[in-house]
Amino acid sequence: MEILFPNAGVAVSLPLLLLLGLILGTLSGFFGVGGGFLITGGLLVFGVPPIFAVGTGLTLIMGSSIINTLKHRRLGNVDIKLGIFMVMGTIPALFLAERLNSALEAAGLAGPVIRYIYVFVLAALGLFMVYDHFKSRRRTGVQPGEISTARLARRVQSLRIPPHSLRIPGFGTVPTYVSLPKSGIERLSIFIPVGIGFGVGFFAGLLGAGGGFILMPILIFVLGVPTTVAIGTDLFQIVITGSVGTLLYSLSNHVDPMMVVIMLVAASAGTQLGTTATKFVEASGIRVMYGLTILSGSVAVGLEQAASVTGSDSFSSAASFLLLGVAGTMCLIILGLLVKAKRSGQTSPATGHH
Amino acid sequence: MFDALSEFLTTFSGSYPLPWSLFVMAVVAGFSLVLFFFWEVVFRLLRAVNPFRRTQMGE
Repeated sequence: MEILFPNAGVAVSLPLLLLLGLILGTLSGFFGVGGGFLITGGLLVFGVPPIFAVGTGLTLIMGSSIINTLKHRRLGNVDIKLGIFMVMGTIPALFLAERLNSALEAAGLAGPVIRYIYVFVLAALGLFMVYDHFKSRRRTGVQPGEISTARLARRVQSLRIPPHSLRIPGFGTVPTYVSLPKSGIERLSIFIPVGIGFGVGFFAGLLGAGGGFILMPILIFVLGVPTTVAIGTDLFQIVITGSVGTLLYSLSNHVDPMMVVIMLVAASAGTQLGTTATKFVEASGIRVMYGLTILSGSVAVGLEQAASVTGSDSFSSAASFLLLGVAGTMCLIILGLLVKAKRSGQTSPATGHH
Repeated sequence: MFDALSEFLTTFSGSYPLPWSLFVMAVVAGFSLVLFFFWEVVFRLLRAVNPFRRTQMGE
């Protein structure tokens, strides 16, 4: 059953769109990422023109992140204060990155540069997360699920960055340190989350993604935020980056709202599954599954680059099928873990939840 | 009905870029909220129907 989408000018199978939306919602709720690399790849396989695949994907990410953030907020997983400080850095960075992107586009370098950055960043993050999982399992005397960079996180949290207070008209002198009890951080310089938001926003704007795949590991491994809170707060940030992306792409008329609305229905069902599963699955399990997913993303983008160099469509198809295959498998694993936890009457992760 | 909707979407998007982008954002954000509350109601109803279970999906 195919539907003709008037804005994208293409007919796409309704069951396939619903399946893609369901997979996106599940992974987004479980990992706390927007899933830009997955949705764009999926829409390309369905024959949606590339620029519409990116624009429509970003709009869907905005919608599913709103649902996911609200859901995670109900579970107590969103640190709003930390999210707001990061957004303060993200918004200017998005516009700065958009300028750089336009310059690269004009020079004809945008495609290869973006793909090489993607391959490197996704591979580095994925390998590190898998390495952290196995390293944590080998070590003795540490709590199960504890991250391998706990010392680095403590050092970052204790950084004292001048100025230590700011004079704001109407508010008087305001300290530049905040307490983030939800994230388990006693005292943190606001320049750290603002700086992280800026860096992530810059990458997100450059790569045309929500940036969640970078932010989630940074919050866990650099800032020491508990995994479930990192997931919820990350989604809050993606609502902002997704909204800016939606605005930019819909201004140039590269979004198909009808396609977004259809996929959003399925994504909202997947969201229920993904977010609920974070309550039952061990934190280190979430991290290693995420690591494997983004490693497959790295290989897929590498195949896309090979396709653009050789001009062979088979590399491009292999990339999209690899992404969808891994994402679908992860959804089945998440469903299996949830069913297993429900059957055993488990109400929280069996081991450490950091 | 479908033809009229397609006509509206293509005409509006091509003629008024800024109102169109604000319309897209408003529709997606509004629909997301509707879906969130829809699932909230569904899970509340499930809990009401099955009060003896300690935990439910969606808690």
